[in-house]
Amino acid sequence: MSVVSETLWAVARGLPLTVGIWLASVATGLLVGVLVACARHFGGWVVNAALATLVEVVRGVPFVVQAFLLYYGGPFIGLDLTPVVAGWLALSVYAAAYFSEVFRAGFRAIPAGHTEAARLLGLKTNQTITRILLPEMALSVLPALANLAVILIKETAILSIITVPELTFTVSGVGSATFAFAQTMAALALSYWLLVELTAWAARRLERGIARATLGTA
Amino acid sequence: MTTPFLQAEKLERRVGDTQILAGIDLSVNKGEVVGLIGPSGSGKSSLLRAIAGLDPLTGGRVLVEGRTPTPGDGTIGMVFQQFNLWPHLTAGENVALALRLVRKMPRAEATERARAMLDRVGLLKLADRRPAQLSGGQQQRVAIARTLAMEPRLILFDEPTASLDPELTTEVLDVIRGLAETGMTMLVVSHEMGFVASVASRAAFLDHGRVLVDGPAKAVFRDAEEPRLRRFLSTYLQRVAWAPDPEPVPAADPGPLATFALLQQPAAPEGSTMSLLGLPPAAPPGGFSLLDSMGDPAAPKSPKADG
Repeated sequence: MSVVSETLWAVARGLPLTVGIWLASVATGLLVGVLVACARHFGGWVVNAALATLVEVVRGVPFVVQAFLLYYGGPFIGLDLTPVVAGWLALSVYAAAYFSEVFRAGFRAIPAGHTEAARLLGLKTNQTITRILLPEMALSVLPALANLAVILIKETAILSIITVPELTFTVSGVGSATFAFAQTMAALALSYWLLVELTAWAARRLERGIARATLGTA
Repeated sequence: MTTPFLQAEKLERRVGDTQILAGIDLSVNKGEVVGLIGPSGSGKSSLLRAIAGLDPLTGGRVLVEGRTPTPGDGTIGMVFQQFNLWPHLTAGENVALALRLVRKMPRAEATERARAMLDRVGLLKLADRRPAQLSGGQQQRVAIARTLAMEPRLILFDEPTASLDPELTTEVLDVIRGLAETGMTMLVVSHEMGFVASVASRAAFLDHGRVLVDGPAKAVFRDAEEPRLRRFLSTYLQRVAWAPDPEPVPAADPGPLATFALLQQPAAPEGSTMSLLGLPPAAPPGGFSLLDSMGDPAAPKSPKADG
């Protein structure tokens, strides 16, 4: 097989897992991130301080170290995870920390009166969050969330170090076997860039959709 | 002797070293409209927020019909200076949301009731507009409709017209005036003295977290014996009295006391500060008063104060 076809084949094998882990981590990270931001915004200072510390730890340690610690250190505390699960978990935690800060900014940007009006009308906190605050902030936090999602695509490459057979793992394998490092790395770069462009395009469409739904304008 | 509808007892709120409410007693009977006036920082808005339960008290208690209300229990509705409409929802949805989520009304019924409420404030045609597509006055009327829809027993208005221009102010005040006529119990914080004088049955003047004067609205404005209140009203009157003068050089300033001489005159001449306040005995039939002109677009635009 030529280097080109081997590289293409490696991309085809690695891409689904890269996209899969990325989407799963973004979804988990968004969910946990929203919950963390809500807890910090509405939960009083003890909860806020505890979660703030956690967020600081996650943001303060390089992702490659976190992935290593979880995968190779996990078994010492009874967490014996497969590479894929460890990768998904590590990336989700990492994503949640950053997503939570974006949502927190979103909460803070909404005038307190919008929440007070809801409270006086009898809405519960969870109803206020889901029906008022999150839709209200959606449009303004979307660019920051999309930005993070794009960064996370590229962070998945680090998972190759804990032997997750994703894009970087499969493609750099071809490089090592054939010594065609430049070609394989170029293919890798192109693949990630393509994913990023797709994401950016999807985010723009989503932004228009949210604008239509929340502002009544395109 | 019956217990008042709303009873605020020795309300105190202190934040750090700042005494925001310094022992306020206020009782309001059912159907009463009480105007709260006073300089900025005097505690008017803080008093409303304390009654609504939005800010914690450091002393005293609030009773509505004998029990302490909690925010959202349906007792108290509030209309804010900044409207606080939810920008992602249409006017109709703003009104309908709490009906659906809190009253558990089916969507169709909530929508119908929301439309009826918007109709009441004259905005039925704009039910599908979002707040950003409405004028400030329209937004405030939607906010009033949203509050009315939940049928509160007491409505608190926190400077409802402070961010509106005079024309928009008029349309909002007309709605509040209409509400007063239905017997709704209301507390209104406002700098629209003419409005307070004509709509409120009672007026309370606050300064530094205390109620300095509390009495029938017309007496509070006309007698104004309390020195701080006199000072407050005279600056207000001077501003209102000469504001419409198109000339760059205003009429000679007679000083606060002279202004008050006018204010206290039992039957002031047409166009005086007395009639500017809109107090009934001072406004001769066909004469100009601030309130008349607010209700009637054909009223003279630039009356001269003859002080």
